[in-house]
Amino acid sequence: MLMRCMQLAAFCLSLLSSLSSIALLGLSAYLIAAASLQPELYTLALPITGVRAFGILRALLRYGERYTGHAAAFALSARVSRRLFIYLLRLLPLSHSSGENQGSLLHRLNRAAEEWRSFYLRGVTPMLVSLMLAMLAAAVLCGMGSLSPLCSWLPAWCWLAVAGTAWLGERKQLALTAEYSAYRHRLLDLQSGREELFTTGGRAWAEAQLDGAAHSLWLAGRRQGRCRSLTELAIRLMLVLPFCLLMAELWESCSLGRMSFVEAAVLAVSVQAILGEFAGLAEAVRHVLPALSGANSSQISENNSQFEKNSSQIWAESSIMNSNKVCLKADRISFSYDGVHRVPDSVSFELMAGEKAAVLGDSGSGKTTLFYLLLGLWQPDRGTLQGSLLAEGGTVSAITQNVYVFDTTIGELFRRLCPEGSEAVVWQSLELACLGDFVRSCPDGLGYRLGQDGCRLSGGQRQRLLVALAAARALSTGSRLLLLDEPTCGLDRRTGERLLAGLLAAFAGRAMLVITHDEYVAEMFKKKIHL
Amino acid sequence: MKKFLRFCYNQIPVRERAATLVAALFENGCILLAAYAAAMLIDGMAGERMLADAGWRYLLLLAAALAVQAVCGALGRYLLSGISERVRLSCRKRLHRLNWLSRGQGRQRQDMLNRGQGLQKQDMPNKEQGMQRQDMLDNAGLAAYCCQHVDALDEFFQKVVPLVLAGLIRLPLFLAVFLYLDAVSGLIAFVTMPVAPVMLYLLGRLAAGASAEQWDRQSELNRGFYELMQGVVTLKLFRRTAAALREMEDLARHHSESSLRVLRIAFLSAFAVELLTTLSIAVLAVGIGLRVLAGSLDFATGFLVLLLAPEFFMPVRSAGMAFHVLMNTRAALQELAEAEKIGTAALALAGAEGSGTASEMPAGADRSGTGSKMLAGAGESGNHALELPGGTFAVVTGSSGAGKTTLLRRMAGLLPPAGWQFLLAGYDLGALPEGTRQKIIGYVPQEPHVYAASLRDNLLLGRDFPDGELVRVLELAGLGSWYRRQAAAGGMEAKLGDGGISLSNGQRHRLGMARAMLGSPSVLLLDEVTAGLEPHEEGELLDMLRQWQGSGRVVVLATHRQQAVSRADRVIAVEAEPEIEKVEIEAEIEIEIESESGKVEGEVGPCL
Repeated sequence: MLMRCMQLAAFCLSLLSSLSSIALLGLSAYLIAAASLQPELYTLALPITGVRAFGILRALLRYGERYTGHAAAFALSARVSRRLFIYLLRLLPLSHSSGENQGSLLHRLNRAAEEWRSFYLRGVTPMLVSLMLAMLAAAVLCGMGSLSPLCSWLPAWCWLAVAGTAWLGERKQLALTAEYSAYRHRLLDLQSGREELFTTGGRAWAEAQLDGAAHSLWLAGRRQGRCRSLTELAIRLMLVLPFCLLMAELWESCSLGRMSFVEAAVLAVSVQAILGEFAGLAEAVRHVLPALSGANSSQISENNSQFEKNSSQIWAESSIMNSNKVCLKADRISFSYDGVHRVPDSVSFELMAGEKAAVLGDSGSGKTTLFYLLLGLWQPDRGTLQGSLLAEGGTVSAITQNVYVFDTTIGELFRRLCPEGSEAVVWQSLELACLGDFVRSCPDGLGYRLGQDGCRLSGGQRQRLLVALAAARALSTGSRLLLLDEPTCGLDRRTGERLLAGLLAAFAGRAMLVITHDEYVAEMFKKKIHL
Repeated sequence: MKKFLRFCYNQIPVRERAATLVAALFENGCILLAAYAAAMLIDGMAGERMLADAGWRYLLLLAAALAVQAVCGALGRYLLSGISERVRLSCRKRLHRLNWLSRGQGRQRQDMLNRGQGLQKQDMPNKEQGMQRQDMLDNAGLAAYCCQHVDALDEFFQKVVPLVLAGLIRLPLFLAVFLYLDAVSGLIAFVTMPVAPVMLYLLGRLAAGASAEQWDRQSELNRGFYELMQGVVTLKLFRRTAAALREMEDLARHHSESSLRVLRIAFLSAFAVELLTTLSIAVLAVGIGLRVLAGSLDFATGFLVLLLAPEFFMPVRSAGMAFHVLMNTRAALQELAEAEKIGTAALALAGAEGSGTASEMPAGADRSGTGSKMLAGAGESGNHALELPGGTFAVVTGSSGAGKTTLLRRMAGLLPPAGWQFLLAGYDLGALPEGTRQKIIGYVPQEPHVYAASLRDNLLLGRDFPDGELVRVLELAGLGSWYRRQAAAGGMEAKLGDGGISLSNGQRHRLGMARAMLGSPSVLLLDEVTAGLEPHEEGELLDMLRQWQGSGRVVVLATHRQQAVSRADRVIAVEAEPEIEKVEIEAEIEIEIESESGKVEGEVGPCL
């Protein structure tokens, strides 16, 4: 509600400031023209004050317009970001190979949000204001009646012509964004793989690829520049012609005595000022078009329906039927990424409360997918999942493999992800994950910064941190089911054994499913589920 | 900033420089002409007898002047956009040449770079920030620099340069015209003209700090958003999505509040400037009016001055916005310069180090590997040496975090040896030129990358091998049957990576191995390639490696898996012994110390 008021206020202020700028020039013209007729001084007193007043007014109104305009834009931007975030919450993790990875999706959606902000601030408001001006001018001219209808409607025709040309010109701009993302995509790709480029001597090749992509971008940019310049030229010429037409009309009218020269002077200057406001219209259209043409928003909605089967609520649980027995029952569940290959394929098992099982299978057989299905992040294509162990949100504690670690301190990460856990719980879970010694040996202790995606930890340490987080959650919320994906990945046997023994002991009464490749880990579980 | 301007200036051919200048000159000249014609027309309307042909003449002049102004204006913009594109292309190409070091421990790299640059710890303005920037450079860094920061330069050419040109040409020209037409108006214009820029400068000094802060705040916000979005799966796993949503809203609100605070200053300065200019126009108008009334100035001249006045003050009014853009450009340039400095330093430390005296491998060292030994010498403590003759299958083992990957990276040349010496057949690896080292050593990282390119490019990475060789190496790595299945997708032309065929973890490791084995390296370094495999798969892989290495090559595998360790000829245990660590790997101490000292079967080698 507040945002709407701010938007309206910004619009009004903008309109008024444009009007006062036109008034300033018009009155000045009147002043000089009237003065040349040598009237009495007192007749010019009002124009003189008026000119000064409008001068001050204009500056004030512009300030107000800028302030409210930006405030409204920020509010809009916040709202858009929020929507975007909710959309992502629904969408991720991506289950279908839609030809786009997470990184580029994020980037694209980020740009969409930015475009919406500039759409409002630099697109819609200037366009609407100039349209209002055109209408007002047309009304005034018609009202005066001393010009032909063609000329009276001149400002309106101009607005249409300019906006239309700008629109046509901008439609060609979209090709550039495609080139741009291709370039960016190439950059990110080669940057992620730069180690191997270095060791195999592929740097020259990589540089050539990047240069090539940058070159194509440059070509596309030049094409766009040419197009833009032509549009700009067309628009400027389009503003020249009407003005000359107007002057001819004014000359006619004056010579026929229909209009005094003072009026003519004022009209000439005012209309020129209005046409000047239209010059910024092309820029405004440039901001409006991408957002309106829906290049981004339609893709978002298209993707939305494609991923509808993913989950309809953010916190969806799978189609779980409650049963009286406290257990987890999976019956012939299957899932498919691309509609062809099914991983996992028709898996069935049962898990009782407090029971522990190891999940085994060849690489690529769908173990992590199974976890996603159990957690309700994805829905199985076939089969059913039942069990009260999965029923409410708080009973599952899980980590899967590709989990992003936030760039913050260890303590802060625990606070963020397991706020219910006290510091004692944090230390307890770190001990369970065999990280206690490491953290104690850091001078910052729990204040040790993790770096982007935990890059300041080694692979094994990162994995253990994730296990610690899952353990902390289990300890503080009393989860009845723990899902651990490769907790011993990157660990030597002794540490792995110690870790698992600790977990098994600490969570003796809770159900646990552990994905693993290590034989010694599988040996520690009585029950094994093969995929 | 000056260097950048000079760089831009050199980029532009003389012809274009001249054309831009001429276009600007003509544009301003035409403004004068158009205003003159308009004034004459209106004056004509005031007369008792209006001469039709005089009217037509002025009308035509008006039309022509406005048209030429439009053309010159558009031409000028076009030339400037061309210059902007060219400058940005050059910047991008320069950035492409910088290859940062591989992702190591953040702090370790920072210290290394400091040593390399001779910086003392206290020179770093904010060590924490420095590390953050390091981390940023690691991951999304290059893309951010090539795209975001370079594009920020575009605004400079679109907004600042035209304004400067207009200011340089228009202001003196118009001032001269004013003085010629009406001395009093000229004087007023002359007096009011500098006041605005001076005030702008003063306010700009105030705003500069705020502007830099705004830039930082903006990047911080972007980082925060980006991180939240990347961590969506994590948040979902821990059911913290509601809290994350609130956090995001707080971020956004905090950002808009602080941005508005900063912008307020900018708006105030804009207000001051606008007030001055509009009042100046008002004063001019009133002055002219009174003098026309008194009869000391004729209408036409007065009207002409009035028409020219807004155009005169236009550069001054837009100076506020231009200043803001200038600040942004400076910030972007600083970031780019910073990136270039770090990048070239990193390059110097790692890759180019091996520009030693040996320009090619001497005849004695056999590239196929027979008789190649690898000696890893200890550094300053100097007593230990480990010999790995050809045909050795060595395993580097140690508790997680002890430094297996770091050791392999040092051998591969991704990290400087830092006091260690790796000798191959008597030749110091560190002293070999980069090209030779790349041919001798094959390295497979923990996460081999699949590039968004064809299968052939993914294997070749710029090298030159026939397709037959590629197929052979795919068979070796165990991807033979997979490759044959891709015949429908184009075989060697099949697209991999993002948007192409996706590979499982195991397949990715095998691709990395195939890539590394392609050049028949004498030394193959493998980092945890058996991590995701079942025991039988692991056995098959080890068999293949054994067979491939024959009696000449050396294979070093970093792992903790029991099977690999038991089948190794040599086991190198990376342990944490404080005194040695202190000597060689100074920066690693705080991170890498593990309390346990793993003792493994086989020979316990010296600590590396």
